[in-house]
Amino acid sequence: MSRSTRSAGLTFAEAGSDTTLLEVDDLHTTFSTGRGHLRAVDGVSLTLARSETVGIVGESGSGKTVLSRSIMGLVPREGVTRTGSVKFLGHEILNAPDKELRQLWGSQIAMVFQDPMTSLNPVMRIGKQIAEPLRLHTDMDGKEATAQALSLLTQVGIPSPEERLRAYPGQLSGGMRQRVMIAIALACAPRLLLADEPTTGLDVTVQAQILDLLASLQKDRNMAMILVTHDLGVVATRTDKIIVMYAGNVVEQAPTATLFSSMAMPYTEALLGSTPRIANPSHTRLAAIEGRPPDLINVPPGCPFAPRCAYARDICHQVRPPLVPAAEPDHLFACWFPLGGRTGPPPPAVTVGAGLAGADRAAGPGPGAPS
Amino acid sequence: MTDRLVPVEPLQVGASVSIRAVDADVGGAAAAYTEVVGKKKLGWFFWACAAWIALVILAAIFANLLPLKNPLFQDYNALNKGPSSSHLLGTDDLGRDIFSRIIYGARVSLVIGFGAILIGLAIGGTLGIMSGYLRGKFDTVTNSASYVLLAYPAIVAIIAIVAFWGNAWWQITLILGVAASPLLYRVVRASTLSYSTREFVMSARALGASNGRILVKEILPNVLPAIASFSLIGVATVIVLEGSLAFLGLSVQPPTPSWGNMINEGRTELTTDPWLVLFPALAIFLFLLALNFVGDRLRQHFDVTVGRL
Repeated sequence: MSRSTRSAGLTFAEAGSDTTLLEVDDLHTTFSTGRGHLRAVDGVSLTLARSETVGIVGESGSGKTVLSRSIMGLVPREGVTRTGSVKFLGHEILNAPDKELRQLWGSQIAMVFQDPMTSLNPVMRIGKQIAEPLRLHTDMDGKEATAQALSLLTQVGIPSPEERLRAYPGQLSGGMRQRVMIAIALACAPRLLLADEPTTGLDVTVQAQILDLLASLQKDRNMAMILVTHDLGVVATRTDKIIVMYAGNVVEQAPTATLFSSMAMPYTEALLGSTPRIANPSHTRLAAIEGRPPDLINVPPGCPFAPRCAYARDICHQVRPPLVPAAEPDHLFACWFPLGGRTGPPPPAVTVGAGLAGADRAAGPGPGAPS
Repeated sequence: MTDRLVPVEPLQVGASVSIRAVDADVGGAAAAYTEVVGKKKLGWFFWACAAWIALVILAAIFANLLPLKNPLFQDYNALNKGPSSSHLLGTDDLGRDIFSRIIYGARVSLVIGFGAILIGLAIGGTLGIMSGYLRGKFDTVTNSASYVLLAYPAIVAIIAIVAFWGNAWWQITLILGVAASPLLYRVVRASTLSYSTREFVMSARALGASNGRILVKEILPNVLPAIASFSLIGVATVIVLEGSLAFLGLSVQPPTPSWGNMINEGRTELTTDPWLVLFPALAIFLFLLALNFVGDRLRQHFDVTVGRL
């Protein structure tokens, strides 16, 4: 695939030795609502190397979708505040003007959305929808773009692609539509692909196909990927690194193998415990996580997971644990009483009476938090 | 944001989406789809109505080429004659052929009807699609303005403006077009609103499409079918409005025939020669019935299709 990618104005030169593609530092995304400020993403930092795959895991409302959209810049302008820093190839893209972002979107960073049933324009032919980003970002004319669309459809494994070019989205099944979505996202060979629950709306057998397809295309193209999901099973075999989110915070972060061998955060354990297993006998009751995620407008002091945590003690309800390194390299967690015993600094000694002073200190908004 | 709780997903997928889960990602769905769509017929009455509309429009366009009597020729040997072989629908009090006057009158009614709606779409439609997509201050201002205009009794304003400004066909068209635009604005805006929050619009944005491109390439093709069918009903309404103006003597002036002023001229003769009123009224009735039915049927047709996707 040799083709010139046009990105007028912005140039994203390969910075020689630097392998960092994306650098997110202390990102906060706050929604202004009638009830107050909702901190959907509350101080997230992450780095992503070229061709690396990161899984972002968390349950509904943990902020993982907002995080991926905040990184990309796909959040409404009004009523949403983003602070911190998002650097793509060294360029600050947080709060960059739309005009600049439009050159980035589709050509450098692309996104596969959650629901393939609604993410395609129902009245536009498939071929035209795949050709669209090519027309936007490259100098191809209609004929070349159509030829490229055909090749993309073949690459994403759609049978009889010539016919499908002329089909409307309504004539395709969910799995095929998601393949089309992937073809559209990959059309301009982006360096970073954000896949926001790419398999949630799909049949289980198709889920595996789509994930394998993403993995192989990613390998071929040397592309970095952020895979957002609520299913630890999905990310277990397909990521280099996993970030576990809860209530807008990163609560644990580790290389994939480390996370599964020595997870520290009870929430991660609970997430894994609520995944159905094929080895279990039929009618085994799934271990659900009791309770609900906290209200993100009035986040209580202390660990946000404490009310639902089986191991929570007094300190957990009063002082929020910071993200600290574990024994293994690149393993971070935020818990006072991690699974497998504590290796980091001990939790502050707090009695029930004296705890409030500590809570004020540790649970207030950190530096840079939006108010 | 997903609306599901943690990983019970495979179970849920199986339960809620089992219909499409079956075809395991290979073809098959396409055939099933066309089968379902094929069943949804528009019906013979729809096609009869559509043919009638086409016939009236063609007759009006090619009236000069048809073997019609001169609509202005006054035959004093045949005043107020009923339908006969020489005058299909009879003659009026000046001996003019009613059949040919109805066909020539269709020109006025059709030009004003379609012209006004096109003008209305140009103004109201453009503002509506921008307002529904861009929201913000632009939406607040245009939306309030449309409510103000809709609250004002349109027919009174139209009569006043026509009386003040003039009643040439283009003036009537322009005035009725402006009067129709707030209503068309509302319809287009509502339709746009429902599409601009859809995921495929977000997806187009994520590919780097500009607002203008999204409006023209993503939203407009979706909004268009509904708007086109609503516009047909709008044309019918404008034709009635023009008829009302003509009946009040405020539309195109005699001797140029229009369906409205033919009724106006015939009303003095209503007791003795009812066909003077009956035939133009019938022309309006049949044409409007066809327009309304076709418009309504198309609207349903497109609604269902969009709902399914």
